[in-house]
Amino acid sequence: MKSLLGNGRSPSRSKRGTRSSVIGFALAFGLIAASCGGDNNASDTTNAVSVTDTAAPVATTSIVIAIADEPSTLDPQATEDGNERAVTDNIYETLLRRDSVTNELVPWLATAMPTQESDTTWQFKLREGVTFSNGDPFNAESAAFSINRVMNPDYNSAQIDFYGGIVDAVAVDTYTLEVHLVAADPVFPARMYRLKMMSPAATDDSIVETAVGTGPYMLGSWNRGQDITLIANPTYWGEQPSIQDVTIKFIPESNSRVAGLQSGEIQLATLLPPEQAKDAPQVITRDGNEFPVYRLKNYEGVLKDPRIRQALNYAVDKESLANDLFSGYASVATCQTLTPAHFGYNPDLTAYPYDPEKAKVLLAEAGYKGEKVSLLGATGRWLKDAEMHQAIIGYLTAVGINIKADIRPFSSYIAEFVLNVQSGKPQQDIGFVSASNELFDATKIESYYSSEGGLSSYINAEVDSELKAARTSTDSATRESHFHNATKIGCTDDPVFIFTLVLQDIYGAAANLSWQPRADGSIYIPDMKIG
Amino acid sequence: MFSFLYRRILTGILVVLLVSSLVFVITRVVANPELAFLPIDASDAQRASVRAYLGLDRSLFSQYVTFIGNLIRGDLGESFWQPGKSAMSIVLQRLPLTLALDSMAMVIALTIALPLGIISALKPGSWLDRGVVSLSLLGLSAPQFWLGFMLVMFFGVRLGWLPTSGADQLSSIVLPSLALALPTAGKITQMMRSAMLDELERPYMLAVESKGIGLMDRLLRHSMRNVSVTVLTQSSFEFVRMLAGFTLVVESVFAWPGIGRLTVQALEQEDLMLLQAIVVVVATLTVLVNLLTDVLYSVIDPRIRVS
Repeated sequence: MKSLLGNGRSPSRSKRGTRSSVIGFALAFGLIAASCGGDNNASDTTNAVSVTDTAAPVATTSIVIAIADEPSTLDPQATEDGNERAVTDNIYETLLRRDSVTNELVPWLATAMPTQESDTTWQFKLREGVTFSNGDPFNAESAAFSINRVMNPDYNSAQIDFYGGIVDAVAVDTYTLEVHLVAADPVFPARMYRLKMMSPAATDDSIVETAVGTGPYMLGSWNRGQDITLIANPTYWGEQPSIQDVTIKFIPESNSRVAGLQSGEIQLATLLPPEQAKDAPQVITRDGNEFPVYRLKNYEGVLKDPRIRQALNYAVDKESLANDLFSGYASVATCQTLTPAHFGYNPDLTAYPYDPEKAKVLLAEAGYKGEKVSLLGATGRWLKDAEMHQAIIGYLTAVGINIKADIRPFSSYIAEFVLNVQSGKPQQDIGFVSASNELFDATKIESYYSSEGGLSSYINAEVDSELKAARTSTDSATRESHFHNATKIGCTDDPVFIFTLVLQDIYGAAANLSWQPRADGSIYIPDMKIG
Repeated sequence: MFSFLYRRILTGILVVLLVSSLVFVITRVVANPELAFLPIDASDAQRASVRAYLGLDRSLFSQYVTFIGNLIRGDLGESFWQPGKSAMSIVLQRLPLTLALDSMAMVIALTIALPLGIISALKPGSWLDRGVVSLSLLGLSAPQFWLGFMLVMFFGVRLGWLPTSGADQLSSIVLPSLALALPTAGKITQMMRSAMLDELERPYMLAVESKGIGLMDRLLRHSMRNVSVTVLTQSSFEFVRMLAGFTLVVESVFAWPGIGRLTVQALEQEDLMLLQAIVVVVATLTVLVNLLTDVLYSVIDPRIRVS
């Protein structure tokens, strides 16, 4: 202290001053420490109270879940947004759903699987005694309303592609619903498991930040930018969930999500990067439904010759991508965007081996002379998308492809990526996308394989006719063989993608959370148990 | 004094108007706001209705007049991301959190930097001085996001004293404000040290000392008053840099729901109206901070009023 003040000649007044400021410091630190201690103690006591005091059959437990960002809306029919689904999957329900173990379609707000009245008419019998959280009854009228709402072109839902050719839905009687289709659609039941049921009285503009569903949870509050809380729905028709209070936090940095897990503030974190999984108290993984691929433009431009597109597939070392980039939390896709869990999976296809020499030979045969190949990619949207682009561009450059990359944030990428064959607008030669298949049916590959697909840059008459045949057939063996033919052409003769990997979903969890994630990636909180 | 203030306020208003006009030009002329509002396959009728809704069908001059008129009333349009909410209300809702964070960071930075700067100026070349100088160098060269993660790992995870992210309790502010404060503290310490060194070497300090006035009085009453102008300049500059830049990083790392995080969200959602509102609000705050600085200058040093 003496040396700090210098000389030891200072008058007593200033000494006092210094001492009191030192005390002030100590006080300030003490206060900070005290306030933290206080917080910890407070939360400990509340936990203790809730566990010991509740003699009720279901103990009140709470969970904090960290997702990567804030939902853009809570309207469950407007967008394709995983953050929105993480919240609304627990508030809204569907007529059919997928079994948490087998992933098969099972009735939910319907009492049985729908029956086919004619080629284009399906009938649902609905569960009785279900009410929305605002008290409105759930019946055929609200079900018909929900379906017609999402299909209304003026509403402009981003989900329309998923529901396909629904003309309309009508209530036959109070608990019988009829849905009319444009054409026979063998996968119609699979489409219905995503369509959330809403109350006609609760769909005004305010529905983007409120939520009125039939599900196990109700919206507690939405603290903009910060979190959403859910509370158990006391009038829920099904079993009460074991976790009563839910806080869903928006934590954009995965490092911060892991830190929250380590400190015990968070019990479940989504979308952990593979290299951070080891830092989580518990890692929960599931074979995912994400297939990072690079769609290839086959009808014009540099890649028109199929040999060049084959060369691109030979040029990429998929094994190394899986092991090095994804720390083993991924497997090599078998030259299709399907897994054995999807209907229509082709067991005869295998991935292109990594063979850069063969790639160079094919390029030479096709007469490729270093013409520019444009590549569109997104960053910040999918797991390791930027790193993936770097690796792929590296592999392609190594065999002599002259890549002109255009890597953008998702919002500006998507505007360009949604240009399809039908738009008539120029498309990039190569476009990255993480294809997923929530239908769990090969019909979803039409988006990329069919010349009429919403995201297609591919024209092949043979594939088109195979897919058309599959679409109109109701016999599942016939459908399957048509899909096999289509995926074979799209793999070998006329590659539609640079195929890469199937990713695993990686969740970080507290050690005392038991949860088996669903095949469809839904974060359904009633599946979870704490302790 | 009043004519000085009057001039400063007028200049400030002019700056805000200029910045706003620049934003207007960028969003209307350079970019096409219509594209942000519409799906790529929108029909011509949809386009026309959006153009009418945004007023894009009128002449640029008439749009500008409306824009400035609305600006004066504080109306910067409706958010695209959160329909039905005015962009301004969203920004103002988030702003207090950022101001709290930045102010807290500034207080921490000054609390660290001022004593350290003085101490090391008193004994230049000593081990203490060298220690402070190296420490402040370390601080000012540490990137905020890295510092943020280190603080989280130590205080949040290892010791478990403080929340790792969010803003749901009072203690949540400690780590993000420290992450913001330490680099700034490093800078101000260095500046404080060199300004103080210059000051202590001036002849009047010797005169004061020979009158028998003690060290603390010499420092606080005499040299500090002169040094504080420099400190103030640097501090207000640092504050503005936090507000308009570093909070973006720190708020993302700590999931702090202020305007830095909001800026990232607005960019992701292509919400032009919201971005516009953020820019205007930050510009206004910058002007206000500078105005306050000018006022404080003239309080500290009367000579500035005259010039």
